Amino acid sequence: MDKELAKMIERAKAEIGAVCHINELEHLRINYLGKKGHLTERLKQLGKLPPAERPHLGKAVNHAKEIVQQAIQNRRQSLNEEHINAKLATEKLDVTLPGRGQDIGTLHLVTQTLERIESIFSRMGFEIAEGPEIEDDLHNFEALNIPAHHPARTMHDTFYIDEKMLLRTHTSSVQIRFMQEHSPPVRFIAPGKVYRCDSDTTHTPMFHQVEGLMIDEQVNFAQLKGLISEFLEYFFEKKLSIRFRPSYFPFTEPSAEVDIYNENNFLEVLGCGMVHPKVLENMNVDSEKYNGLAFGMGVERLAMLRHGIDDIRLFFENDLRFLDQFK
Amino acid sequence: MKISEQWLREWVKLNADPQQISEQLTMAGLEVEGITPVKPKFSGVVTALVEKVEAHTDTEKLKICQISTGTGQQPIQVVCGADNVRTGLCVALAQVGAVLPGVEELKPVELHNVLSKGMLCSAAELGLSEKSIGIMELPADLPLGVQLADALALNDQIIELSLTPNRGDCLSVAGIARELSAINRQAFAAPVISRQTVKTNPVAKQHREIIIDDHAACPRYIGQIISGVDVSRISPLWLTERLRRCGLNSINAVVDVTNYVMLELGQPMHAYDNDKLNGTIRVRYAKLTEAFQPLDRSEDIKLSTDTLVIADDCEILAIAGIIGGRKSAVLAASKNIFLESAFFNPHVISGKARQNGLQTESSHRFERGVDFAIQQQAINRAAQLIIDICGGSFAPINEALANDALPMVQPIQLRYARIERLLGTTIPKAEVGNILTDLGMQISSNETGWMVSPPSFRFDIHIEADLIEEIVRIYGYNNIKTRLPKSNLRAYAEGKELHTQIKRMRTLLVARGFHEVISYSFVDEEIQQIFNPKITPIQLSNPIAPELSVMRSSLLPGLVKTMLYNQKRQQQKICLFEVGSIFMPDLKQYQGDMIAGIINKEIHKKQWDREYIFSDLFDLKGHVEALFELCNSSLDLSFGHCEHPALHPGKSAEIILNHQGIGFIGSVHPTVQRQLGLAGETFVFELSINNVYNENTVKYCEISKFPSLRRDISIVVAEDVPVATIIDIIEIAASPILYDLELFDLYQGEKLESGRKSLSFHLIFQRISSTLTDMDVDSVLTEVLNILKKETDGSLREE
Repeated sequence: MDKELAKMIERAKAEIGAVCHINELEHLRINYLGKKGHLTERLKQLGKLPPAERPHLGKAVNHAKEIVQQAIQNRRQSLNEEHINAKLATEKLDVTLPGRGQDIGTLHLVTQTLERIESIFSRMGFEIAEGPEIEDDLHNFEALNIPAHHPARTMHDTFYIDEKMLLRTHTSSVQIRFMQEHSPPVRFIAPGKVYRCDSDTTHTPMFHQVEGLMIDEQVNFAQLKGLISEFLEYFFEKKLSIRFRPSYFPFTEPSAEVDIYNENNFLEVLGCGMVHPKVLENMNVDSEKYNGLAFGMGVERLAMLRHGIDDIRLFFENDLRFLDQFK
Repeated sequence: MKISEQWLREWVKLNADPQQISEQLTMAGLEVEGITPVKPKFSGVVTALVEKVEAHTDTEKLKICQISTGTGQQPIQVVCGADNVRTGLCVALAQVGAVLPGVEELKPVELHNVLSKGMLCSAAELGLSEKSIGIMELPADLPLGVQLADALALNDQIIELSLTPNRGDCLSVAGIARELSAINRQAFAAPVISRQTVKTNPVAKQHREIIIDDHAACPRYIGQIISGVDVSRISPLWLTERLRRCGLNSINAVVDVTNYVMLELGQPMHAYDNDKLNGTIRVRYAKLTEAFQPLDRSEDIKLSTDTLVIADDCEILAIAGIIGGRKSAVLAASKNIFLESAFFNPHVISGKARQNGLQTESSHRFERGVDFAIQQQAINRAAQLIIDICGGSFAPINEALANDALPMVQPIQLRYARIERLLGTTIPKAEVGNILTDLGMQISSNETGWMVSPPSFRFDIHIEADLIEEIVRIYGYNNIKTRLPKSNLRAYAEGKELHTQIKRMRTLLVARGFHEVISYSFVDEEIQQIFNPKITPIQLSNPIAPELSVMRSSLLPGLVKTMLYNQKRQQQKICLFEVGSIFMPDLKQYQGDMIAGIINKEIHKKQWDREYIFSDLFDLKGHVEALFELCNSSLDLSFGHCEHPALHPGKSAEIILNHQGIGFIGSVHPTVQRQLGLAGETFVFELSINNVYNENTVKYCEISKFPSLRRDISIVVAEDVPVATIIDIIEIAASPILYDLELFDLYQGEKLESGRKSLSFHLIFQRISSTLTDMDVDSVLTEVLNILKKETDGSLREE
């Protein structure tokens, strides 16, 4: 009997080893270990044996079952591995083929720059305000201390719609509108399009500006210097040599042009100053109690400096070869 | 404004070099744009005298000259072609070896067999003027054999300033010198201007009466007759050199003198030919029909009746403070002149020059404000110079003055504490006092600070803040320590959700392959007319170009233009959008933000493993629907019939949100496409951005814990039944248990009766409260099919 079992094990092992497919292996398993399998049959026959022999033989048959089971399992594992390896050997992609899908587009560089400016000032607690692009003389000039025929009007080559209405020449006009609805303390920036009749490599008839205004009881020129320096160094992501140079805007006093030192030259980047008392009064703000600081910057100009662009007209030609460079 | 460094140094003693001077001026608010040396690049040019001129035997054009460079020197033979070469003339001789602009080394040459060992130079050849006629005629009193650069004091720099409009007082040598004197704390030393030394000639007819109609407009007018002048005399070189260095051309001796005095003192002056004047000088306003011919025009111009003019008994002689007339202009033949030195109120002058297109050196100064105390000094200076150059004698001056109409110098209270409050820094009291005094202010101390009276030449100082600006300007912006603002942190008071939402919409389109463009808000009226024929656009009264003359009432003209621009540059895939304002005729009604897009038919990327497809309307529609989905408003979105003049009638739709039309989408009408020159089928959309945004905060909907059931059905209906109708019916009829619906196939073809189409849907059913049974779904589907049959004659497709 033992010998027979040993033979059966040998035969099973040989058959398992010869199997090439997982389905055949399953057949073998049923042949030996299934309900009517050879080894199962053997166990059933135990009852016919004398009781004294049963334990010994039972143990032997169970042992044989374990061996066959183990052999099947091992074979299954190796067959699976062979199968996967065979599959892997045939499935080879050229991974350098391009991926599927559409190219991405681009946000206009002006939008990107505006967002950058807005984000810096937002982090410093500035709100964002907006106003109309077709403005009246009052908000664009009069209320900002630029009466009719003031020589400062020659600094702005204005597009007119009629005698009263014009295209705003700066977003300072938003200051007045904002202050009609708010009272100090305030802190906001006004980004947007502005218009001047001018066109060459450094001027386009339309461009973008960000104006800022902060009114509070303890605002002063030293803080204005600090705020602007902070902004510029964040914007350009480096330590800068910054120069505040006296200048003139009718709506601020004192006024300053801000230059940054770049390649042996000072480049004008923005204008700023302390809000003129008359302008504060036009905003219904008590100029004895409050001071204001204001600043204004050309968005394209900042983008040109940051990205090394030498012709402002590129921004509005919208050549895809230009747009596509700024992802 | 250009100013000569040499001239400046006559007025103020300075140790600083030109570079430092320029830095000082810039940092005091008088921006220096550049410094240029006066001397062009030449050397080896000396002063010399023409001793002898002989005609060349071969040609009439050339003359053989013997040139002396001083006593004891051998005369040099030079061949010269200039008409004005003559014996006794003092000339600029470029010697052999000389370097001239464009000539590296001057060599002896033979001209028609005569040796020329040098060259007599014209001003242009030396780079001293743009063009010139004949050779340079130097003053006879120059020493001979001296380097020309020394003889003409060319060792000078031109400082070019870009002055802000508030600093009219700096539009003169005296003005800049005053500033430098305050910055450097150096005495301001006006050169002594000699008094009128020539005896006056008190002949009665040399008196001309002056009447001022509006004293507020012209508080002071000084006139003086100078008779017996010889205007044909040439202005001395020192004078024309100074004018040239400051950017003015020499006209004639009298005009040159008035210009000189203007540059020196800042007082614009005018000289009239006295023999062309009739009767009284009257400062009045122009009359309605009066004609006037400015001296630089060949035709009459009309003046508005608020234009201040100088007139005599017959006609207008000059526009006050702006320009003189052609008829009474001083010419070389003039014998007697009438000199004017006046103060005109800036308010009356400003705007008038621009209005008439006559911006002059004079108007530039009067608009900004001329020192109202300087007219007498200026006329004395000018009269003296004229007589020195042209001879003649002058009559006593005649001044019309209304003292009380002169600008009032109002003392201003300056509080010491206020300086620190505004600047955030402490400036010592003594320093404040010094700065103000150095700037020519009269100050007297009081309890809180000072009472300050600004000088008569400053038109920009009226309030305390003006004084503080003056102080900090001289104290130095760089000397103010930088601090950071103190914070009162507040979260944004108002919802800036729209702003954020627009940002998200932009990002979405970019992720979907669109390039954002920004185009001008003014567009070509013709192109706009195609898209918005019913809207009369807002016209600019002064457009920069005819194709940029009207405000856009749609973003499409700009997008189309950009599409064309890029198509011309061989771009294949063009997928653009823009966000921006449009402008409707009634401004109060609308200045709103729109979002618009344009795509061509080649927006799909060529993929290596699949067939290329051209884009169609549904590509663009998918992008538009995504915008609504992003803003949580796709549930209320629908597309309806559209009548847009620029769109294909069968391939366009109105975009409707909550039953309100907010925009459109479509294929550009084939005729329009051809008219505009667009390559191939082009698709556009435009919609009002504010409407897309859904303000409602999203509320959570419970997620069902029960399994869902899925059914696929195909409905056959007539071709002209819109899919949306079928979907609406299904959604409404199945609403209690319908969770999702998706159209996955559209079939039209031989397997169906002609004129019919089959629509296949995945339907997903689910309930929040319990498991659905097949019976639940079957009964709902039966209901759906009944309604479809009734309303659309649709039926389930038989296999």
